[in-house]
This record gives sequence, structure tokens and C-alpha cells, in this order.
Amino acid sequence: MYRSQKLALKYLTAAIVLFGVMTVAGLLTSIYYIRSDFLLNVLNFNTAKILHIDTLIIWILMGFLGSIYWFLPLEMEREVAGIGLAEVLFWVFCAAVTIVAVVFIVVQYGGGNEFSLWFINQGRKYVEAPRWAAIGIALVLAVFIYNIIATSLKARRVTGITGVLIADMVPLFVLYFDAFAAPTDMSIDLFWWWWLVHLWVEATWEILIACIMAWTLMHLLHSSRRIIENWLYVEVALVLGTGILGLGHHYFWIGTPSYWLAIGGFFSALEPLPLLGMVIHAIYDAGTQHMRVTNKPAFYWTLAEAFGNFIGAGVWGFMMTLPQINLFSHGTQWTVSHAHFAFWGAYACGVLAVLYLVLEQARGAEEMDGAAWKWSFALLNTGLFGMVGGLLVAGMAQAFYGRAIGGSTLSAFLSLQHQPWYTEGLWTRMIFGLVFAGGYVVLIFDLLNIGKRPAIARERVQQAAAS
Amino acid sequence: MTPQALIFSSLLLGAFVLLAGLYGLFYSIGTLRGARYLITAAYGCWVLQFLVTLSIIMLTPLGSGWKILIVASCLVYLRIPPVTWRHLRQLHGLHEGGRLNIR
Amino acid sequence: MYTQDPAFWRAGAISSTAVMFIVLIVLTIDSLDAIRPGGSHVPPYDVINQKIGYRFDSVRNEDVPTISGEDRLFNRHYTKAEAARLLSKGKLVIQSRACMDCHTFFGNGAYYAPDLTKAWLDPIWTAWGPMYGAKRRDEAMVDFLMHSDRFPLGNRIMPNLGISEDEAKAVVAYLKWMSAVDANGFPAGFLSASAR
Repeated sequence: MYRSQKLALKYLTAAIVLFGVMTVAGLLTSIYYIRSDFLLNVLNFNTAKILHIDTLIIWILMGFLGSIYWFLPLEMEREVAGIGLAEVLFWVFCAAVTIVAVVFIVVQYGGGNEFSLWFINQGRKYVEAPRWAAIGIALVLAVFIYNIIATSLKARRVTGITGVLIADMVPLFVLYFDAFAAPTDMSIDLFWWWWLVHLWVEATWEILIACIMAWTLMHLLHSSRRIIENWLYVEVALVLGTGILGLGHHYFWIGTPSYWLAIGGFFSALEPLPLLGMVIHAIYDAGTQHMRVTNKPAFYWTLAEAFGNFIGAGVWGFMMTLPQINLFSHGTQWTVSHAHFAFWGAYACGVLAVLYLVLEQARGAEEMDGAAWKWSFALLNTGLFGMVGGLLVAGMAQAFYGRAIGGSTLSAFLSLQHQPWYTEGLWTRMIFGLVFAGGYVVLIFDLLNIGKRPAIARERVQQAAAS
Repeated sequence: MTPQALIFSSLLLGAFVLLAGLYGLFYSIGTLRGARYLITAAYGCWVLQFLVTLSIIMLTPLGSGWKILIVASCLVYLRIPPVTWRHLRQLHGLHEGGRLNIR
Repeated sequence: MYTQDPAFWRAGAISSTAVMFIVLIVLTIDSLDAIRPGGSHVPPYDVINQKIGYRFDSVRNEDVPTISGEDRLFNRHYTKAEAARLLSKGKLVIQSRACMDCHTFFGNGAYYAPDLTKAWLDPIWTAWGPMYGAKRRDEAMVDFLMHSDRFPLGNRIMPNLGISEDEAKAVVAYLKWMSAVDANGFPAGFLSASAR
């Protein structure tokens, strides 16, 4: 096993641990909606929420790093250049995440000054981590990019996949500089913030996961490189062709000119089209392989990725993206419903698929199957759908009563808290969150055990033969 | 837009894309299995999507630009599954022999 | 067939990305000019000295902020420089207390607590003012921010974030400025709905 692959296993382990933290924090946040004075002044909603959304970003990012550290040496047929540095930075990354989380929980808030931004909490969504930690993350990303480019140079090889990956890394890294900004003007702040958030999760991350899925499909289905590369370029063309100006769907209401309503709405409405292509492609692959894959969980999580992406990002997004609808749905639980579904379908399922593939290779398993992965697959997806469904009902109620009827005043907000559709939607979310958490527990059990038995059985046979 | 129109319009828009997905799903599985009833179901879904499109045009207060976009999208969605499938078949047909040794 | 050649799609990917990105850059340059303080959509910081309103514009077919006359904040006039300093402080307070992780600003942030885009204009400050002896809107808001956990609102309550009086004033000034930003009609019907 290459050193890079050993590092990959560390990153993937850390990713799954943070997935658990994210789930616990998520359950915590759901309680405040039921009881507003829960842990009041001890651990407020915003601290729990920060833990929830920041671990979301970090676990998926670590999943990406782990996946790429796993596949890159196989692609380049050599050890990753600068791997020693990357190994050190993994621990720096983990330490930074831990310290930041502890400070969030224990110190919580500083005064309205620069010191708070440097050492406690920057208070900008997803990038609340203080600047010192943001420097650490930037460093990790910089070394990661160096690893990819240097390995490619040393191997004197740039494959289609690595070419796309390297091209994607540059904007991904540059965009992260917005994590340090703190402009006074909120419109300017949000303008650049959306460059980071949208062009990460709806552009550069889409390309990243596409590269990872390209390698996954090559290993899982033994597809030819030429076919995979063709598909990868098509996806880049369509995703970036719609997604770059799809950024405009975040510029409807932040004080920017009104032409964004037309531009953002138009490109945003086109975004589901490539996602349908991906669903068809997934079915084609499933069908032509006659479902004869040896790694069942990896395959099913890949299917879940295609379908989840289409429904969560495509269907749910289209329901709320046109400006006339969005005027009322913007910033409600409807948004939360879409966000959970889209992140799940677009990224979480993909990382889980890769995780199972990596485990198969790491354990030398002949077959990856069993009951546990099916239970975790069922519980996680059921939990997620239930959460998303509850949030959609609550969100539509909020848009209907709080916004369209009530005009978004504080009084309308307070009346909303007693609307049955709203409250029951939020209870549903919490209950299905527990189902999801149950699925996570089974997932951990499965990840620890799957694929080990044939190896153990082989060992026993060898031992018996030897004695 | 009235509150009722808000919910009604958004549900129609969601149904619009969902039916496109169902069309693609049934078309693909039907083509794989050579099952005519699934292909028929697929086109049935597209017809439903078209009816949803008509509902959006006639029953929602969305702007005319958006209605035109939705009609155009509906027609494009009709072509996506067959075009994608043909492209995939041609792609795999030409390069089926090219397996990469990745271990 | 050329569609089977990855090079064709690579060229497509590069060109579509490049074209879209160039269009984005052009629109960004135009938008940044509109959203700087004093731009077409965003008022200068010393708007905090003026009266802010929000009314339905039948030509634009949406709600539009209005800026008129004088309406002193905290009983004093702020120069441009003083207003800029005050709002800069306000933004730092908002970030340091992670307000956006409970509330939304222009609908962005967390969805647990109310949207604050038009919080300055909310009818509740004048309606409830007499309940806790505040005379003016700005006083009421400062009072609330400094002692938020003493004012339960229905079944909801805001925690005490240790906001000092100076910090609270900075935040209130910030919210006043923000309520004058032209957000293309968001939130819809803010004052007209509550008048029903």
C-alpha cells in the first residue's frame, strides 16, 4: 500500500468521525426548534448550528482529500510527491478542527473586534472558523494541490482525470480566500461569500466529486478510461456551463441589480438538465453490468448519488428557484429542506460509495455484501427523506403564513410558531433525524466489519494448512 | 402572487422536474430490458410533464419569460433520454475493448 | 464520430467555462459598483441620519425602500466618517456574536430566528415599546439587544450575548442602514401585510 493510501485511510476515518459529530450536532439543533429555551445561555442554537454546518463542510472535504490520496498513486503508478508533508498536515488539520470546536463550545463569543475574528469566531456561515484556523486549512489545501501537481510532474503524466482535477484545484483554492474577508457592507460581504459557497458546492466541488466518481467507476465497473474521460468532460461542460451563472440565483435579494433575477433564474432552471443525464448514465451502467458488481454497497451508494442529486438538487431546487417563488421561500425551512437533500445526494452518498470501494481494496475483500450495509443504507436514506419531507412542509407553511400572508415581520414569525403544519413538520424532522442517527450507528458497525471475513477465513485456511 | 398560488405553482414546478426524471428512469430501464410497456410508461410520464407544463402556463401567475423557458425545457427534456442513451451506446460500442489495468 | 472523442468535449468544457466565467466577471464589476455604499442599490452609511421607509412601487411592482428627511439616531447627527466607523463596529459585533447562525440578513444565514433585513422598520418596536418603558425605536432596540433574555417573545427567546451598550448601538445603526438597501422587493409586503 502506498503511503498516500495509508494517509487516505486516516482522512476517511476522520471524515466518518466528523460525520458523526455533524449528526449529533444536527440532532441538538432540532431540539431548540421544539424548546426555544433549551440550554439557553449555556450552549445556544448558533453554537450547535456552527458545529453542525462546519463539520458538514470539513467531513466532506476530508472525504475528498482521502479519496484523492487513495486514487492518485494508483493513477500515477507511483508514490505521491511530498507525502511526508501531507502526513504532517493531516494532524495539523485534525488539531485545528478540534481546537476550533472546543473554542466554539467553551469560549463561544468575543467582543466586536478583530481579535474575535482571528481567534474565536468569524461569524460568517460555513466559514466561522477563526482566521488562524483558516490559514491552517488553506495550508492543507495548498499542500494537497502541490501533492497532485508534483506527482503528476514527477510521473511525467497528466491523465484526463488528473488534468481536470488540477484545473479545478486552482479556483477551489483561490475562492477560499473569502474565508478571511469581513467587509462592513453586507451586500459586498454576501456577494463574495456566495462566490466561495456557490462556486465551491455548485461548481468546483461538483467537478471534484466527478473526478472521484470517475476513478470509482473505473475501479468498480472496470470501465475504460476513454469512456470515463468522455463522460467527465461532458459533465464539466454542462455543470459549469449552467452552474457558473447559476451563482446568480443567490443574487436575487442581497441588494444587487435586478438583472440577476433573470440571469440567475434562467441558468438555475437549466441546472437539473445535466443531472437527468447523470441518472440515465447511472442506470445504463447498472443495467449493462447486470448488477453483477462485487461491491454492492459502493454500487448502491453510487446509484443513490445520482438519484439523490437529481431529486435533492434538481427537483427540490427547481421548486424554489424561480424569483417569484423564491421571494417567499428564501431563507425559510424550505431552503433547509433543499440544502439537506442536495448535500446528501450530491456529496454524502458519493463519499460513502468511495469509502466502501477503498475498504474493499484496503482489505483485499473478494466480495462486499451483507445485511448491515443494507440496514444502514435504508435507515440513512429513510431518515434523510423523512427529515427533508418534514422540513419541506414546515418551509412551505413558513413561506405561506410567515411570508406571503404575514409579510415577514417579527409578529408574523411569532404567530408562525403556533402553526400546526410548521410545528409538526419540525417534529417530523427531529424524529427522522433519530432514524438517520440510527443509520449512522449501523454504518459505523458495517465499516468496521465489512469485507474482513473472507480475509479472516483465508488466514484461517492458511494457518490450518501450515500447521 | 397569492399565498395559495405560491404553493400551487411550486408544487407544479417540482412535479415538472420529477416527471422528467420518471420519464428518464422508465425510458432507460425499458430500453435495457426491451420492455415496451416501460417505454410506454416513460412517454406517458413525459405526456404528464407536458400537461403539467400546460397547467403552469394557464394556471400560475409566473412571468411569461419563465413560461416560455418551461415550455422549451419540456421539449428539451423529451430529447435527453434518447440522445443520452444513443451517445452512451455509441461510446461503449466503440471502446468496449479498452479495459484499463488499474491494480 | 466526433462526439465519441473526449477532445471534442474537453474543448467544449474549456470554452463553455471560459465564456460563462467572462460573463460573470463583467456582471461582477457592474454589481460591485451598485452595491458599494452610495451605489445605486446600497445607501451611503450616513443614511442612518435619515428617515427610512418601505412602500410598494407599482411601476417596479415590488416593495422599495424610501429615504427622506431627517430622523436622528440616538439623538445625534453622524458625519460620514463617524457613520462608517459605527457601522464597521456594528458589523464586527454581528460577526463576533455569530448573529448569522441564528438569524438571516437578506434571507442569508440561519433560519432559527427572524430575518433582520427590515428589523429597523418592524412595527413591534413601537407597539411594544410602552411595555418596557422605551420612548423611541432606537432605544427599544438597544434595550432588547442588551437584555434579550429578559424579553421572551411568545414561545421564543433570544439568549444574552453579552452585548455592551456601545455594541448594541452599533448593531442598531447597522440594522437601520441595512433596512435602506434596495433588495429587489425582499421581504415582500413587510409593512403592507402587517397593516392588514
